[in-house]
Amino acid sequence: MIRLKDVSKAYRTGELITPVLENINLSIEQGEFLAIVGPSGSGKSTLLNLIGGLDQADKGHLVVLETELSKLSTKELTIFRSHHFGFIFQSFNLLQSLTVFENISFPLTTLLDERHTKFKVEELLKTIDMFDQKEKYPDQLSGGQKQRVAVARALVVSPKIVFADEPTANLDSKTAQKVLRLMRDMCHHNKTTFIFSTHDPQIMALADRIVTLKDGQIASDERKSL
Amino acid sequence: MRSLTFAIKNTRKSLRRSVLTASLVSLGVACVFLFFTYAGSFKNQIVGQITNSAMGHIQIHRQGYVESLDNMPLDKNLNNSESQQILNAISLQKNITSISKRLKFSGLISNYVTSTNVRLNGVEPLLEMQTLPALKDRLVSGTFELNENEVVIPEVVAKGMNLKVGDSVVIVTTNDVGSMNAFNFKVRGILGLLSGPGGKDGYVNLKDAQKLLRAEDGTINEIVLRTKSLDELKSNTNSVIQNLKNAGLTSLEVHTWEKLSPFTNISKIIDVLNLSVQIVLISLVLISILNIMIMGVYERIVEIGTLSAIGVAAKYIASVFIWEGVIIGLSGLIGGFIFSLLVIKLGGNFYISFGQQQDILLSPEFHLKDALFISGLVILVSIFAALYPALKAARMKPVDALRG
Repeated sequence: MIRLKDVSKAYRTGELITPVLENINLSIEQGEFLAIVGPSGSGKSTLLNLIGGLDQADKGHLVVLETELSKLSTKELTIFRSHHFGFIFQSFNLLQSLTVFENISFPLTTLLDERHTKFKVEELLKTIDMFDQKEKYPDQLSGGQKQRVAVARALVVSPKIVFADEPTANLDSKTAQKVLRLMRDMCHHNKTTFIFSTHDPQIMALADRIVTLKDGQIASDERKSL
Repeated sequence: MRSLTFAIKNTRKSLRRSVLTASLVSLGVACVFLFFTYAGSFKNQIVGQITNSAMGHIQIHRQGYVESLDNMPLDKNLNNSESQQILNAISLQKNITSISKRLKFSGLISNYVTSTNVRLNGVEPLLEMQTLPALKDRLVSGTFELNENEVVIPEVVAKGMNLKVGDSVVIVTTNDVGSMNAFNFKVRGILGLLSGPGGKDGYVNLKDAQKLLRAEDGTINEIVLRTKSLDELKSNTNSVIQNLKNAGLTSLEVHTWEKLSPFTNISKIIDVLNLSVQIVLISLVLISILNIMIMGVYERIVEIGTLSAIGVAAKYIASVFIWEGVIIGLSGLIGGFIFSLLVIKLGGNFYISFGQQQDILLSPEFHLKDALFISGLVILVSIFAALYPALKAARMKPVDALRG
């Protein structure tokens, strides 16, 4: 499903070149609940951004869903992301001017008609137990509620892969646990691949694979036996 | 969700800032609209007075007459045959609604105690009143129905010589060969002052003027035309010139009121001022919308990154920002119009003085043409102002935008 071969990425600031990822080789299969862990600056978020098509590698091959991402134009990449990927962010990144319902339905704007959108979003609202809050705005929600809305928004397009960058960093452990269970259920139920970048031991405990990065390289790749 | 709906929601979310910016636009729109209406009203009033009570729309003279107009030359008169040829040449022109013949001359007016210079027009009163329909409105007293040996004198002369309607005066003049002549006249009316050429002239019957100047019947030196509409002045004037040319009358000059009146320069200044306030409006709209939209882009940088990450097309992101600019511009436009209409309704008409003229009524009117022009301008400038921030937002790389 996802293949990385000798992928490298460096950031340039003037003449200063800072390597972030070096010769990363990695394969991820459908339905995996995978956590990328490592200390700050180890390249977790960069790896997530590369696989998610938000950034481009300097070297190597990155094939996602049998598509070499570097060969897509910006426009093609945007369409590719809208069809196949879901994103969950550390700060939730909900659209402040839209209600819960509108936030979740937003990615479907160009994909589904109004009737199907309503049906799908309402189903998801029930799943995340937010149906009664659908007319509320993000600033009227708690952190846990916001992240559940963000999860629903990521899942509304039935993506093949969901990328979650530190999704529990701004949540208390009880709420984080609830949100993680929700994602775990979605993963098992829909065979959606979840890729996290995290420091959170709760995610590591739930993940069925943990890839550890250190100094821009894969230090370990552990699979848990089910 | 349509980009317009999203833009409306975004604008509503930052309501206070949107309202403040829209208020600035409103202020600009109101200033321009009120300036347009009041300046337009002033211009129309003055142009109306000049053309309807003194100069008419178009004047025909023998070549060289206008350049020596201050001396009231009598050696550039048109004889009966020439004036008839001119009238025949333009008689079929349907856009001319009336014609008045004048014999202009200067003379001395005396009340038997004192005397002063006066400029006079010999006219056929009915034709003059048809050609200058507001002439009778300038009458301070008396009437314009001039019989022979009657004179309508300008107010400045009446005041200076303490003359009133019914008083007797003597008018003395010298003709083109230096022969002097004088007649007794009775004051029939007193005309109020008007800025510009002809504003201090008096009137006598054309026959009296011809007798005074010992000119043959039919002698005149000015033909004044009234056309259907001032809006078509240029084309009507060209038609007159062409018809005179076709009739072989080449030693004549044809002038519009604009060429003869110094008010044309004031009118041009008003047009320049109109342009200046338009530039102020454009700047106001451009700067305020550009400012709020750029602020919006920087404040919502993570939101732009999120939209881009979840697969929203760059075109959509750009259109949201453009719509936001247009919504603020439109709100300002509507607010500006409402404010302007309230000012017109409540402040309404008022009087001003212009030169020697008192009590010029400024009566602003709502002109659809002006409203459409201002609306088009504001919408265009709003789009233009939002374009740069919109493109900036659309071109952001999601990974950079998400970093904030």
